[in-house]
Amino acid sequence: MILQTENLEQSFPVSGGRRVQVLNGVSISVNAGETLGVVGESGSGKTTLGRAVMRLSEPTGGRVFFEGRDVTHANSAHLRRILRRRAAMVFQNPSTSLNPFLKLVDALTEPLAVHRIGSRSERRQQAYDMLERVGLDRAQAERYPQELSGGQRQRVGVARALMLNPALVVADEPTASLDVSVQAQVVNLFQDLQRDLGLAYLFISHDLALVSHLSHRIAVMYLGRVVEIGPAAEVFDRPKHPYTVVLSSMRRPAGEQLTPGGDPPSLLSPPTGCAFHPRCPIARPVCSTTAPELTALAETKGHEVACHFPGDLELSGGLETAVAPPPPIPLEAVR
Amino acid sequence: MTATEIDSPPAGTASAPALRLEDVRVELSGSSGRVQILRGVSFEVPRGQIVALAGESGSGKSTAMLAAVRLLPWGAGVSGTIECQGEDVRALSSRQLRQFRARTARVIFQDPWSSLHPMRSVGSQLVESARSADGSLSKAAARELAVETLRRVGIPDPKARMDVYPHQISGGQLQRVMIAMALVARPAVLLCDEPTTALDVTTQAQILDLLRDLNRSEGITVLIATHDLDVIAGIADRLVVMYAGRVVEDGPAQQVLAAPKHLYTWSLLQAAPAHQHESRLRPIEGRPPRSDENLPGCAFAPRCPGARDECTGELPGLELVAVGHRSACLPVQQQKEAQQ
Repeated sequence: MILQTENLEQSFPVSGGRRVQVLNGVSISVNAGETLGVVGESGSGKTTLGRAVMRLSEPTGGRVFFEGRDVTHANSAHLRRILRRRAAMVFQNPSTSLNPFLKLVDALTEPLAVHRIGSRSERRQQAYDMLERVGLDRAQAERYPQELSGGQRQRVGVARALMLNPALVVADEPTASLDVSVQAQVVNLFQDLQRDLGLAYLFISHDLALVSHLSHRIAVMYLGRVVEIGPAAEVFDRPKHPYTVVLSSMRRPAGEQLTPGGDPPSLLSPPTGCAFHPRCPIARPVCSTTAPELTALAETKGHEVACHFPGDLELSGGLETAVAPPPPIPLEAVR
Repeated sequence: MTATEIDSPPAGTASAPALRLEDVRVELSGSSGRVQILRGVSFEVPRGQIVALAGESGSGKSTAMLAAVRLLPWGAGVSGTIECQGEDVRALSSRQLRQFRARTARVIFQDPWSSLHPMRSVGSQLVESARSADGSLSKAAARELAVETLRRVGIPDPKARMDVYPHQISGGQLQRVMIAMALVARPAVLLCDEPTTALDVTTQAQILDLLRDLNRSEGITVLIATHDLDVIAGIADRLVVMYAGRVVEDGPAQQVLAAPKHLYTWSLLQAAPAHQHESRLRPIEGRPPRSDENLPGCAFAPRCPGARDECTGELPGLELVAVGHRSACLPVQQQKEAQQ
């Protein structure tokens, strides 16, 4: 197991001496070579989770294990030796996460220099190799980020994350700033690199279709908790938590969508009981008083749901209607 | 609109389209001189319909929308015909233009946080909007109309909501307030520039439901610019697909999505993970041309899986390839001719 969290909690101070609880007991794990997709809306805590496991913040409760070692409160020297060398992050917006004053080759060799790996020429060679690996030309090494297109920049963001040969890559909405046609290029790159290098991904996104496409397992988050976790096909095609069902229905024709009423709840005044109950189409009295625990389902291994009535809300039709097939190509000669 | 018009409007709507752009070209000054953002855009928004203007970043969809209400930056060079509700938008005086924007065509932007005044209550902004459209409205009547409109767009407890400030309510509610601000003017056309992109998936669906509901119940014509074909698939009557400053396909929404007649639309639908069961996505290789690049032929040809030699040499026009369905794809046009 590469990464494991146990009842991870993260709170931040807000005005008035209060604290806002962003993560509320999150337990996840990522195995070697596996992709765990994390799906949630804004305020669900998905980004905070990514930052907490990378120790960009210090958790206020629970534990984080990286490659078997407890890094929850590790100091910076310790972190640098273990977590920072073996785990890397790809950020949402490559236009702001790359230093505009560094040539690509310098941006790519920087992690190696920080960790004192190789000679100067060896580092440069590695940077050239990595550029080619992510589908860029080595001639572009002398360029600056603003000379590249958005898709190319995100390739550089991925390349930089891979320079230290990590075991885990945490990717926070890595394609959200890209157009659909370019997004597919980057998604395929993620998959190719995983196949070739055996990387593990924690892939964070609001897009359930995208996450289900490239994840082995999916964790669905709502207001700081994991409400459903399991094999990607199960969670996506046979969701058991009403919130996942609602998310999953968004890919259907408008008439078949389940649009929840109300707004996502505020972290500052979380609802009592199950956080989803004010918007849940099948909520019953118990839902507003008791928060359901994440419980394993008997029928599928590894599928856990935090709901008092798992599976009571279902999408009609099931698998076949879930993914609309792509339309036929308009040309007969090419077909 | 005169009787000499060749394309007769569809049965039932005996009047001119709510919005018509014909051969609209827009030039802006960039760091590298004048760049063409729109390269001859023509499309119509029939009255009472929802039309989606779809395209990726840089395709010109927002520019086309802003050109329709003359909100382009200072110094933009515009040519072509823009007609909204029978008015020649390009010929309006600044006084007429203010009336036109207040009453006839209202715009809703992507980001509700930056569209509302942060220091003024929601109510006072609604009242201002209502009175700018109808000067004879008293303050009390405008306030009443504002409360009623907030209720209409699904804001709970609208009376109390009049006194809150924009930062006190969620993004989805704020976008409803934006729609209410447009509605108090009782506009004929609602222009929405990526109205749900800044919102969560579930909130997105709520806002689109509301737009469809307003369209059906009150007959408001809606034009939505979007980068996500799937999001508007359920609510749009027609789909206008743009690429590199031109319209490449235009047809009934369901027909365009089920059987696209341009290889760009087809490639875009292929690339979306929502349509892909296979383990690999099918991206469109390369990138869209920059706005300062001038390609003699079809702008999509360098990335097109079905491109032929003639595609790069000659610019295809938008031609009818099926009932009410136009495409600017040369091979598709040739195939249609061969079948006839």
